[in-house]
Amino acid sequence: MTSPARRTPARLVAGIALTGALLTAAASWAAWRTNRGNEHRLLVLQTRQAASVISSAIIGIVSPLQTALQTARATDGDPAAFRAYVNDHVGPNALFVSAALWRTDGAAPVPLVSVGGAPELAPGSAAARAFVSRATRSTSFVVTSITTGPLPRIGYALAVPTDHRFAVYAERAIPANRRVAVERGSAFADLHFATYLGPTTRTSAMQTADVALDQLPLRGNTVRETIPFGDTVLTLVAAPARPLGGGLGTNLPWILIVGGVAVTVAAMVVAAQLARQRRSAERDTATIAGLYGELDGLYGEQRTISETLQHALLPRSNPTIPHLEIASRYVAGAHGVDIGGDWYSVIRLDGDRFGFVVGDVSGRGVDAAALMARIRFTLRAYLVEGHDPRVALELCSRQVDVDADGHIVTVLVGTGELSTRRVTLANAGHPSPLLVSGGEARYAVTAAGPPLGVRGGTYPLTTLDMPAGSMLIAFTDGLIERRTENLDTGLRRLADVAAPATGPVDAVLTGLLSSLCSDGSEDDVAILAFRWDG
Amino acid sequence: MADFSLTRMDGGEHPVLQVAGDVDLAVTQQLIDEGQRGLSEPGRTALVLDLERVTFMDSSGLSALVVLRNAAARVGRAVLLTNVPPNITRLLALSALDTLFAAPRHDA
Repeated sequence: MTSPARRTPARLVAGIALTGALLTAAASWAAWRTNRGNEHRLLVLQTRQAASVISSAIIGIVSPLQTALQTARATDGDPAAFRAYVNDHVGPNALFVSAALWRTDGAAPVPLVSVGGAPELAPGSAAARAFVSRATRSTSFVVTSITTGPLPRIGYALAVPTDHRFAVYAERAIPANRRVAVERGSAFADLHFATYLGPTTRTSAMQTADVALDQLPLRGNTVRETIPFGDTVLTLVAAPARPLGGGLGTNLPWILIVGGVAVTVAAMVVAAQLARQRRSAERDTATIAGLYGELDGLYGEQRTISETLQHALLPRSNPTIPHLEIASRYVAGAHGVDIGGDWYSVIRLDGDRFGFVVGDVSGRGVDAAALMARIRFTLRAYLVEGHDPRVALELCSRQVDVDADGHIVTVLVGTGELSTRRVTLANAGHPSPLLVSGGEARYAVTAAGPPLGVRGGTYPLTTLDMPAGSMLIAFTDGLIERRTENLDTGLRRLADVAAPATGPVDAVLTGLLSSLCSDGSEDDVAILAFRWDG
Repeated sequence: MADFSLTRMDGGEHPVLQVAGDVDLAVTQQLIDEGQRGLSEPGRTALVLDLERVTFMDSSGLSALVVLRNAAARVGRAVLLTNVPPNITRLLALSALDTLFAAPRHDA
């Protein structure tokens, strides 16, 4: 494996991690920004709503004072009438802690009647007179913050600019710590807020808040609203007490981060796994290809060894014998690498005699070839010693045992006399030779004994007197045997092809093989032929 | 090439091995092993090879028959061939092996 193939998975995983991180961060940031924008818009809306609620409350506070002033004007400052009306609105738990009617058409304002507790702003004081005078000059009510007493209060004064006779003065309590409770579901339910008298947000001007004093001023995402309040204003500052758009908006960035990281890690793991599997598959493929390559090499090597051995065991050339034209062929069958056990042999015995052998060891392989070589040289030795074919076969058959050697061997052994053209044959289970003479072909009739390897066989001699110009063709069964037809069909075909054959014996064999084995015989074929001078 | 198969038939006097398909080098060991198993059955006097469905036999197949015949002879038994197709009969005759086995029977 090359190093780039190893690096790729690490790069791939790092790329996925980077992409995943970037996408997660971008999505999370976008969600956070959107949420922040939404939160601010909602805060603005809710603060405005709260401001309008405060405006309504102010109207609710001032309208009893307006009614009281109208009552005084209608009754020309009748204290009883003023007291009768105002009584409902003054008390410890009422709108005001005290209320008073002042006469303001003299040189200086004078209190006429006072209801409720003692006002913080003493009726006779200069501050009180100045505040009431301010009301007579104002088109709206006037407000002042009173912090001189133990508890802070707000003073209200109201007059009618066109009728300078009367003014109404009232004081309203502020909770001790200036802290107010907020009801659930009210306009303030989701807000922290503080109200200030006047346009500033100094703590000294703070009127009410729903948080402790030390938490002021409100920080972070805040919105300020200014509400008209008599001749001044009330400033409302609000901040969200909880996510105004609900929890999802706030949590979404975190959900995206966690989800993005999880998806990225999963993608990294899957990618690494796929890369590993791919690498392993590539390794396997390479291994298999390598093994096949080796196998091819071994196969080729064995085939070469088999062919070399086969050719070494067969004669390089046939002997030259006067008055006799000899030719032979060996054709390896279209099978695997195993060596076959077919052979042929021609031996010059003396001046007048020659011997010939064609044989076939059953089965294939090196041990079949070794047995073939053993028998071939044994028979040759017996023939050279002068034994006739019958004796040679019987002697040889004692040296072969199918139980020990694993093979049977069919052999045709013959000797010929040049002077008489007499041929003597002995046959161990082998196909009889074909005799071709004068355009006719017939098989010699031999009294065959069993193949070598089967003990107890006898091999009677057959004697043929061959005419001049006649030809003997000995062969192994590969030439005639086909799986799909019976033996007689193959024998007849050989005879039919051989009968009209003329020309050199070698050319005759070439013709026979091309006619009978052109499709590539499955079995090995050995052929030996000789023709007498014509 | 016809598929080779061996089937052990039961019920007769002798164990019968039904041989089918091409009997060549590739299957001879199998034929020898199965035949020897049949020959080793106690109380029998012969092994019958039913060759009716044999489509082809080469010299390796013949050598397997001889091996089984020799193995049978060693334990005093015989190998009988039955339902031998004409082509195999011809092959046995050409190879001079026909006398080695008991006369083929066609009435099994």
